[in-house]
Amino acid sequence: MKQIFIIISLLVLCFGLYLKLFYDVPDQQELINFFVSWFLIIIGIAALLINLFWSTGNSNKKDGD
Amino acid sequence: MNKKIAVIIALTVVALIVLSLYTFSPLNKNIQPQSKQVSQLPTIATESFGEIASFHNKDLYENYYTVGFPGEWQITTGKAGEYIFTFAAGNGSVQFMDVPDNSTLQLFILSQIEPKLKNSISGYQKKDFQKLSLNGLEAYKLVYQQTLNDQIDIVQKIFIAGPDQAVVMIFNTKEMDQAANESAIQFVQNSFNWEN
Repeated sequence: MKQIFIIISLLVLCFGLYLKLFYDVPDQQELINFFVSWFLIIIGIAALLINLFWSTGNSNKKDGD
Repeated sequence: MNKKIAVIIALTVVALIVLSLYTFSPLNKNIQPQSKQVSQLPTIATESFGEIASFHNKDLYENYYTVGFPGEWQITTGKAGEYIFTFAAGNGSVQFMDVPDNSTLQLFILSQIEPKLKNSISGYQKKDFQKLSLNGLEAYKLVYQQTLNDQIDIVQKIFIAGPDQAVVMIFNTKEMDQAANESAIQFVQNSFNWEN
């Protein structure tokens, strides 16, 4: 489950970076490209960080149990 | 829930709110499409054509341009970056044209545009094709005649290379009136310049 979450997070992050850096934006679509690319980058990074600390949370819970 | 995860979620939400506010703020002019900002300068008098209507077109970011028309021509705006005009003996337009990144303007005209014209226009007959330099800009002039309802029209298309988009000026006149409008057409061509 954790691996799937990491893969999805990386896909979201990579797609955001692709839109930001490599995608040939059609005319007058710069605004939506700016928003969507940064949105995906932020969500991707946040998901990766959550995943990073997720295990800590579980281990704490186990320790608590 | 882990406190660190809660902090990350909170920071993410804040970042998304800031992103939304920044993106859709009217202050953010760098990425806002500059559509519908066509402004017309006050008309000025010249010796050749009486009053001149000059336009600063800012419809497409990175594709701002200036163009002028003789004052008696009737000008209307079309889609983004487009002017449609009618004059005593004809009509035409100025509009953007997208040239693929893997092609040059000249190659695109000769390999894509002209074959399409040849196949789609009745009585197509090429009269002239030449390279121009308009205010130092790379440009090409394609002149052809077309026959509609037994009437021969002369069409001049001026393709002007640009930093992002190209511009094409189209002048459609009746064969008999071409010479009379040539100086006005020349004036419009020479008035064009990119603002970037």
